Amino acid sequence: MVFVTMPDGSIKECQQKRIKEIILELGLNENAVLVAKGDELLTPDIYVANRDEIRIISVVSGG
Amino acid sequence: MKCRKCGERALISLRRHNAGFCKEHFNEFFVRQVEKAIKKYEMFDYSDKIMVCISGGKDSLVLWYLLHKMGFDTTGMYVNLGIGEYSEKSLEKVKAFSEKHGLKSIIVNLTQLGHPITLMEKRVKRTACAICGTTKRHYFNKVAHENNFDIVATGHNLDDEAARLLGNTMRWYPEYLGKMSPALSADSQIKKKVKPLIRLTELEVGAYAFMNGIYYIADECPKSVGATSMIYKNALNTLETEMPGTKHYFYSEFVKNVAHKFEREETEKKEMHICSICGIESFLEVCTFCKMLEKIK
Ligand code: SF4
Ligand SMILES: [Zn+2]
Ligand SMILES: [Zn+2]
Repeated sequence: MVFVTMPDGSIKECQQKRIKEIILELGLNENAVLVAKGDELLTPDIYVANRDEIRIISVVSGG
Repeated sequence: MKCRKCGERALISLRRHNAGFCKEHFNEFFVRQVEKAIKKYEMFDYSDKIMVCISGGKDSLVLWYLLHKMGFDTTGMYVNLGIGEYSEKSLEKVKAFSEKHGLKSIIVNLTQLGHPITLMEKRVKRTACAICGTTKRHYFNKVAHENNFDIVATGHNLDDEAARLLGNTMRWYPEYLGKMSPALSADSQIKKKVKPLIRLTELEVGAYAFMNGIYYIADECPKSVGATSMIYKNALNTLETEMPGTKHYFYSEFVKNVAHKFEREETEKKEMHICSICGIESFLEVCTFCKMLEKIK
């Protein structure tokens, strides 16, 4: 399991897989979000390990 | 994925450039894009006094920080809108940010001036965003004019401008399509309005903020719910995923080859007046902002 903190603070769980696939599974667009683990960004090709905690940062602003 | 320059692990993948970068080389790429925009669109040089319009969001803070770092004479201009907690938080961010990085700032506080957006919204029959837009423009123009700034810079990025272009194209607004250039010699009271982040996407600006510890206000203004710009941004991101580079192509080719067709001839331009109340340029004898304020008194 991978734990994903969403931009609104909620936490989702998903299977281990590549960041690219996690973004798709969450219904997000790779151009609209950054994914971080701790203080490092992860590129879409990275395979996330079991029990990893990652964070989705939305970069799209509305104003 | 490895950094294109040094082979270290990449922290960001830029599909439209077919490249990945580590922090050091992403920062280098980022600065180069800003330098290119400044040069290509003849935005400004080291002798200019630049006012950067600050909202507290990532784009304006990144622009302010970077132009200062690059050695330009910059001052941040922030309008505190008086929209509840959102405005309080963004004011704190802006103050902390300018202190941390030793940046010059000018702050206009609408609550202290007696007309926060929330009050204006009750008295004026327009949407909050329309009121807010007019009000911010008024103070940006006023402060720029009174303090003799040569340049007014905003943090609009490629996504903002491509989305605006798409919106204006969908509705064929010739008036607005003629004003899509990233460097506009706007009114005579302000020499030039520029968008130095125009070659960078929202994702790239967000990544730069993240990697360089620029903590911006991630909360959206509560009034932005349902903004149509989001629909256009999402549509463009869908296209960009399938065809990397689309946003840049759509916007930059428009500016290069098409925008001039929508620009008005000098003779067609509406005559400008000086508002008889505030002294700022306007198409009207009394500007829209001053007319709104009359309703508050
Ligand atoms: S969303 Fe509307 S009210 Fe809020 S800052 Fe933007 S223009 Fe102003
Ligand atoms: Zn590198
Ligand atoms: Zn006026």
